[in-house]
Amino acid sequence: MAEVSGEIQEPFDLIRLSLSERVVVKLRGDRQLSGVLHAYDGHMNLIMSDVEETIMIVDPVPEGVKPSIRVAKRHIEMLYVRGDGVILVSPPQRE
Amino acid sequence: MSFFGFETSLPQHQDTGQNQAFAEEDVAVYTWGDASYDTLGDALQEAGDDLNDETFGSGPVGKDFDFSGTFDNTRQPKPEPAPSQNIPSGLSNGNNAWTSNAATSVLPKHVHPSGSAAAPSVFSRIDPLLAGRTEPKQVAAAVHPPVDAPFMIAGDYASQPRTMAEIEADMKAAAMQQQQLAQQRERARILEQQQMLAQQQQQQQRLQEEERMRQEQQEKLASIERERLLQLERQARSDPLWAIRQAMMEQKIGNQGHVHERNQSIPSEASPMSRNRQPMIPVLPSQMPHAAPAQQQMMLQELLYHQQQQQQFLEQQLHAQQHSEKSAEVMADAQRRIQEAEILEAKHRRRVSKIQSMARYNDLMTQSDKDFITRVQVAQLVTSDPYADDFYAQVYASIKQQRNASEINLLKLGSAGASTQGNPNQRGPHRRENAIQRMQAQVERLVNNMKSRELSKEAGAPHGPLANVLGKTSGRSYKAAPRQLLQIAIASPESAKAHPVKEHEAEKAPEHIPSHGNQAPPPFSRAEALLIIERLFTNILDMEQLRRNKPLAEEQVAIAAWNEKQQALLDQIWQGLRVAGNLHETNPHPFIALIAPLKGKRFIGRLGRDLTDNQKVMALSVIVTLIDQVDVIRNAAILDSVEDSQDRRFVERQAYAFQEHVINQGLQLSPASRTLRVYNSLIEFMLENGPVFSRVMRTRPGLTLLEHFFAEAALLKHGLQGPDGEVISAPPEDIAKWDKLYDRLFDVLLPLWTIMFPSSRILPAFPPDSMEIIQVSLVTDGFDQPVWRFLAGFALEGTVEQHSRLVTQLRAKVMGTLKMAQRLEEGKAKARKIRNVDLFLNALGLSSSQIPLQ
Repeated sequence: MAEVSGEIQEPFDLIRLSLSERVVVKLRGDRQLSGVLHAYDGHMNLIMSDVEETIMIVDPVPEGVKPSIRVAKRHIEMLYVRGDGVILVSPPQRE
Repeated sequence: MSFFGFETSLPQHQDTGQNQAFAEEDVAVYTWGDASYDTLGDALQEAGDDLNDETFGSGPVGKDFDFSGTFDNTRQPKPEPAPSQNIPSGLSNGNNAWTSNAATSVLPKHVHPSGSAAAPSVFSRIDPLLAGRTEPKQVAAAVHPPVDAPFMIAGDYASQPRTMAEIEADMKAAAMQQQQLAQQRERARILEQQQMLAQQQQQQQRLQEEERMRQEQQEKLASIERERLLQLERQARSDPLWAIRQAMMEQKIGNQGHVHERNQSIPSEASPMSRNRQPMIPVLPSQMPHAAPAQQQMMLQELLYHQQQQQQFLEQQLHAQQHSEKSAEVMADAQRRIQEAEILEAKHRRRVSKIQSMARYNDLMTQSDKDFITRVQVAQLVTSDPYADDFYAQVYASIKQQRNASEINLLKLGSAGASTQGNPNQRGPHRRENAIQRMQAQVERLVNNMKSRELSKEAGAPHGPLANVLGKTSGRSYKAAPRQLLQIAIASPESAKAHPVKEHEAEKAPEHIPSHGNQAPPPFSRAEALLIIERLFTNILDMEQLRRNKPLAEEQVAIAAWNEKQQALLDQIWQGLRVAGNLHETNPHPFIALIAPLKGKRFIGRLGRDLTDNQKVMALSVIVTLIDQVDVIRNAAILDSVEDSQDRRFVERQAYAFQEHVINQGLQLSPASRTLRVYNSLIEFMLENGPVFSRVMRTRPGLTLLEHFFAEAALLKHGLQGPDGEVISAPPEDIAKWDKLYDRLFDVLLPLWTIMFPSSRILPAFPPDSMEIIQVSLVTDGFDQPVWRFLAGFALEGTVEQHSRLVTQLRAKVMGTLKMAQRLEEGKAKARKIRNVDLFLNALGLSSSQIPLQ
């Protein structure tokens, strides 16, 4: 729709669309968040609720041994995410 | 021309006196040998002038040796010659020749910027005559300028001293020419007479005689002309620089606009170039036609004799014709013509002098200077209104406006715009406007040209409009065209068309006009729906802001404007919701697509009070009619899963939001318009498409919706209690309709009841009579509760006969549930199972305790 595409003029407009929607946020340090986005700013600081954080943990192992990767999850009701850790923000894959 | 700083000019204020002095004499006055003659002429070295041109050069003199900075004094503005009314008419032509040819170009006037006052010239010391006295000798000086100055030569005659005999011969020749011209004129006049009057024989004879005489004269004249040409040729051969000088003189004359053409048999010697320079100068009818600069002096003398010869000729005519009155006529005619010529000549002179005065600015600017100024001007004009950027213009305009306002009238104060622009009748502003418009048009054209050039360049590029998105790689230097780091297309219909990606989107976009052909347009994508919701949220925020700024009730005008604004916003929101329009335009319907995201549902809830009931009914109709498109109905299957998952939670939330925000808040009708008729229609809509209805009834959100409508309708059927205790009942026809609808609904629902319970759908997957199924049933009891509740409510409205049918249909379900409850230990779970069944049984006036198990 032409009028629709007209309003997306900068990348942040795409994030704006996801306000009050569930988003997936990839963070530095092998972390990933899934939650409802409530607010963002120009630094990509985010306010999210109902967040599930997924942390990939690679345990240090001696040479030659296959590294084991653990996935830790935790649930957070409300979360402030500092923008400098954000790698990407995307809508959830399914729905 | 000053030579080594010598003042060689003639004082120009002497012009008039000189002319007058000259006018008193019939011929040029030569003062050699006079008492006042200072013998300076003898001191002049007359010989050895042949190589002057080679020594001093005859071409344009460069500035190289002009140390005193006096070069190009000829470009000094020449003051306008005094009007020649007081000069005898017979000599006016001669004067013209002096002032326009001889005085301006042949004798360049030197207005020495510093010389006259600061340093008296050598000439002025040597010869007081040249220093500017008004003695008649000056005429001689004017006729014969100092021979040493090669650039002052009037013609080729002047390059060599002429004898009196030569001059006399020239004069005679000129006299002949003059006479012949006058005869020609006379003959024309006589020919005219011939046509008008029947000519007498005598006159014819006279004409013949005249003709013969004229031929004789012509022959004589031709011989003189030949002789003169021969002389010129001789000179040309003797002087190798003659041709160059000739060209120079022509150029000079051309600059001054003196282009004369011979109407004699000799072709014009004026070069076409010189003629082209002054195309505007008219050829004067009675002026002595001459072109060659070499003949200027001759022409002068011819002119001197003009009047005299004419007189003589007229006398002859008088004797021959014996018609005195005719000769008087001829005289008057000649006088008139001469006066006309004078006027024309005066005009011409003025123009020439003006052109000359302006010519001093010629070539002051180089082409690059001009280009620079043009660039500056164009740059200033890039704004739509150059005066808007001009501080001084602004200040001036405001001052003018103030003055106007205070002076003229106060009424105009209201229309400030008009006074700023100024009265269009006034010439100045009008011209200014015109100029601005013209220049703006020009700038626009320039810009358009540049754009079209860019476009054509892009069209040539292989990637079309996407070219250079990642920066230019070739072509102009990057200084001229800065590298584009990021190019985000500004959305406009054209750009959307041009952009391949956008084009795709544009194709996808649903058209509001149903005339889209057979091909159904694709529905909103998720992003599009989100975007529209965002926009609607912006609108509703605007409206809330507007509400906070509501003007006071007393301000009628402001209130009206405020209402208008609010209504406009509401209309905008309603349009944005896209409820109205073709129902089956897209799948899902735009409105259904908009309420699909959680945000959309919440938006409807927030909008609730701003929608009119009519709009709400429309929206509800859309939802009910196209209920199989609603996301919560589509995704309801996952609600039947017992396991907790993210998806399930998501749909759970959506279903809740749908029921809560959309149905209960957003589209809840106001009490005034909550009528049985409306709910009748809504339930009818749901029933309309059978297969969809049965499917919808198997979903929790669908059932909840029906329950909602049903509850409202049942309430309305029994009548509401008004504020004063009275019972407001629905109109009887609506109640009758409702009864019919209920019967229909009962019939449709009856076979569905068993599978409407989520437990009925979930439990068959598990082995019967196992512990597992009982565990699961504990979970499904929660799902079943709304169905039992609805069943109870539904049963309440039915007749006894319908009740028995219901019991028959649901007997197995009731018994199964109770059996399972029996196996459970006493506790919450068991109590809930029994309570669920009792919800239904109580509605029929029964109880689970009455049912004997086993």
